[in-house]
Amino acid sequence: MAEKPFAWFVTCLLWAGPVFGFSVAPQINCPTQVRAIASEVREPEGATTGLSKQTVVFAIEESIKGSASGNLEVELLKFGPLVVEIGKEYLVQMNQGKLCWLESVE
Amino acid sequence: MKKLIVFCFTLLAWQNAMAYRITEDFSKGFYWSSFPVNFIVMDTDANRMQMITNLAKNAVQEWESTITEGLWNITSQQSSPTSNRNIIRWSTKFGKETGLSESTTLAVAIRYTRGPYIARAEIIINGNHPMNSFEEQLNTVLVHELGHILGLDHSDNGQAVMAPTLQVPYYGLHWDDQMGMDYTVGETKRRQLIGYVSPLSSSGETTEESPLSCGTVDMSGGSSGGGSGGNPIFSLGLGLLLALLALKSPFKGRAA
Repeated sequence: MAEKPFAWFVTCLLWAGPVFGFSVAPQINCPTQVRAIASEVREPEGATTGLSKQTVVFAIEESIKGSASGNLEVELLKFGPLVVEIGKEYLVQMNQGKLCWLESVE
Repeated sequence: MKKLIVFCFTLLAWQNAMAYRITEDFSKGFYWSSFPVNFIVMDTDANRMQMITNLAKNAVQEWESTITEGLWNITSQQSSPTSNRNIIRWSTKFGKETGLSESTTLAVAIRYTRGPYIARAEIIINGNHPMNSFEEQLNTVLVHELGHILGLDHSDNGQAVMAPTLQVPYYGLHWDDQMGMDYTVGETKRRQLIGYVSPLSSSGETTEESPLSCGTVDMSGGSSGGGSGGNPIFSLGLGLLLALLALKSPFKGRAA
């Protein structure tokens, strides 16, 4: 093959494929995944001038991926679509400390 | 053969380095007749209206701090959404209204054309998607949809805000986004200046508005915050390196 420039070119091209963006974006696959129970919802103290938010504390039940343990605090927009219920179980995915997925586990 | 290899690699590298894309309507010649594009956040719920307005203003600021000021103007009105203005709205019937998947699509931007112009636009946020409950994600969604409004399509660069999938964490506008927006704004201003009428814009006599070019952003988590596309600078460098190697290759073209 080394003596056939075209084959060499094609090999390089195939090898370079992912770098040039031919790969398909992954589905939800964040490095930290846990099953957790919503244990507390904290409302901000006093009047807020910016976005209304609330902090939800999750108690980690099981680490599916990564090594998270203990409690996890997540800040939610108060008037967004997600309403977290205390005592309910959720699948939480994080990447570098940022939330990348949250859904209730039926 | 060497020239062919050099050409192909340079082309590939350059294609990825310039990963931004232009929407079909913009490339056909439709454009906004003037700046700023005035948007009204319309919602019957005052709290939600305020939340969307704040985030939309942040999104505008993010684009305008890197490109130029005065591209969008955001105001709000507590009422049911109307269909004759540029509006940003929240939809709890997103799937039914847009025909898009509620579980994977976070928002959509729809532009309507009349004559040679983009006459109005609508950004509809999926009010049932849990990820729209997080400030950073919803803010990124709005930055992305505002990009569609001015004519930017999905970028091939997975790290750009205009990539079709939302990346977590979000590191801010990528230089590919800035290059794309620089181009669309510059081109729009050029068309405005000369009163450009595209031959593809129905002779400028159309009175009915027609919806064009929906843009959506799906949700995707990357294991390292990246995704498809790779780093364009790296790709450009790699392409040139491979081309250089090809030039210095001891293997000569000996056809079998």
